[in-house]
Amino acid sequence: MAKQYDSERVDDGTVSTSGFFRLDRMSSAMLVLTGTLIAVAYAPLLTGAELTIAGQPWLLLSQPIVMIVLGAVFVTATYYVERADGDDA
Amino acid sequence: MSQASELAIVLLYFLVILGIGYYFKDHRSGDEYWSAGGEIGTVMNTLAIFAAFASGGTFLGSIGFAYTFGLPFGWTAITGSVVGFIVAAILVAKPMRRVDAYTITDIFDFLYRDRRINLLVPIVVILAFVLYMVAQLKAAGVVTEYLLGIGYLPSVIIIGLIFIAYVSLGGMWAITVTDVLQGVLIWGLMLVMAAMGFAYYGFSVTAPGAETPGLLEMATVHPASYLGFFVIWASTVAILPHIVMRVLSADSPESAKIAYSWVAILYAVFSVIAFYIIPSTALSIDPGLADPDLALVVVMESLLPAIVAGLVAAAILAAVMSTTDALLLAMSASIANDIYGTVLNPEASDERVVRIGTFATVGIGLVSIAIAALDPPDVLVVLYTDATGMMAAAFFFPLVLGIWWKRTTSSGALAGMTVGLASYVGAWLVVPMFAAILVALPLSLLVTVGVSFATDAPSVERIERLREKLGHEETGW
Repeated sequence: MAKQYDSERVDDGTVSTSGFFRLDRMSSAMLVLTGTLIAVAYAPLLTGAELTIAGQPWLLLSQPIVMIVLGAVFVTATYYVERADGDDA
Repeated sequence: MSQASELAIVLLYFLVILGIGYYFKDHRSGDEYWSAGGEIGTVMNTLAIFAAFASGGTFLGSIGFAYTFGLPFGWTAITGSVVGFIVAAILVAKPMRRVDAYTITDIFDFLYRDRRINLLVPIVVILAFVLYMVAQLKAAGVVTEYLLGIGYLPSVIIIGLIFIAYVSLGGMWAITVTDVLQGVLIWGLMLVMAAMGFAYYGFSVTAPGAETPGLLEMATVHPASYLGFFVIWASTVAILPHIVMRVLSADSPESAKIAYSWVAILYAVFSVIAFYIIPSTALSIDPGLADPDLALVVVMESLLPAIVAGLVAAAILAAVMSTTDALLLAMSASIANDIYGTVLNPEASDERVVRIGTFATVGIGLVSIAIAALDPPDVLVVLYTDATGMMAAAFFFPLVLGIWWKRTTSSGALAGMTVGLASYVGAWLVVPMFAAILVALPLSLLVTVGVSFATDAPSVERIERLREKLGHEETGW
């Protein structure tokens, strides 16, 4: 993974003034994971019905899991990339 | 309990942080005063960001909030904050740190070079942060009055004068070092309180929930309030001016991002533990508190010996002061660096801008003390969450799109900011609590994109400048 330079960019002297700057794959994956977990945690709210698991509100159970999982995955990913960068150097 | 021992510990704490401010009194260049020379390392910045974010509002307000509304609603803001740090780390931390900037206005100036934006941003920051700081000062006054018995007015004045002194003396260096100390105190407080809370329940993990079942129930509020509370904090972290200044003081872009990642997990663990056990213990001790914000203090006074309670009192004040000092520096930077140095007198010397910043620190601090001394009604105090939500509605998409979407124009950003602000205020009057962001943020996005398409595309030179300076050439994590 390490440093993900934009390998698709061709330096032909032209500059596009539209579209987005490129986001690396791991950042994109992290954003997708974040969005997915948020949707899992909060989508039941949109239905209007109160979802419970084992008698406890879904938000009570899901939010701490979402917080801890996202925080842990993010720190792990950050250090994984740092280490990979170190190995590449 | 001995108020004398608590007072002695709190006085010692005040002397230490004043000493830190005095130690950094000679660090007066603009680079050092506003961003500590960009030399703050990852560990120090992690603790400083954590302390600046974990304000008195977080400590007293969020625990009181969970005490009143239950954990599912209380944790919504915390989940939003954790997501906010991740979003900010991925989308804005590294690009912002690569820019030669001190404030969020400098970042917008780099992105858009638009005088109207350079004026609008600091004005919004100052208006929102005065509310924020008054809320923090009021919380400090209430707690200090309760703990030390020295009266509300003297409490507000003493605390206010102390942080004015060390911020005006030492700038970013002083608030970073004091925030590190305060971060350690806050973590120590959480560990002690959680341990005492679990001991109160015989070290059972399930007993707190079983004994106070109301804490685990959903609050009877509109679902939009849950979503709005989450979205406010998920979108605010990226644009909070005093947190952005921390990013700009990091010793490298990578360090800024790593610090954000650590704050995310620290904040998650901290909140999951503290907001479960402490409100539960408070409910068990006194289920009918007239002022829920005192839930933490009630637990402290009931369970801790006086000497430890003195340390906890210092930690609570640390939580308040670690945020107010950062708010104060951000506001003085808005006046001196942004309005004076960027808009009114771009030719002003570095020394003059810092001198004006020092005067601004004292002036804004005194105004905030004066407002807080009037003991404003709680309705004014709770407005600070909406004040930060309003900033997020105005700044989030113009910032993120400005960094990542090449087609964003200055007119689009200005329109997005203006509509975000106006629609937040308008929606706030008619929608459920915290739900205004659900209207204002999408509108800001639509208007920023729509007006950008309707105006001339940015020049090739601007795109090249953004690509090179923001580091888009190197797209790594």
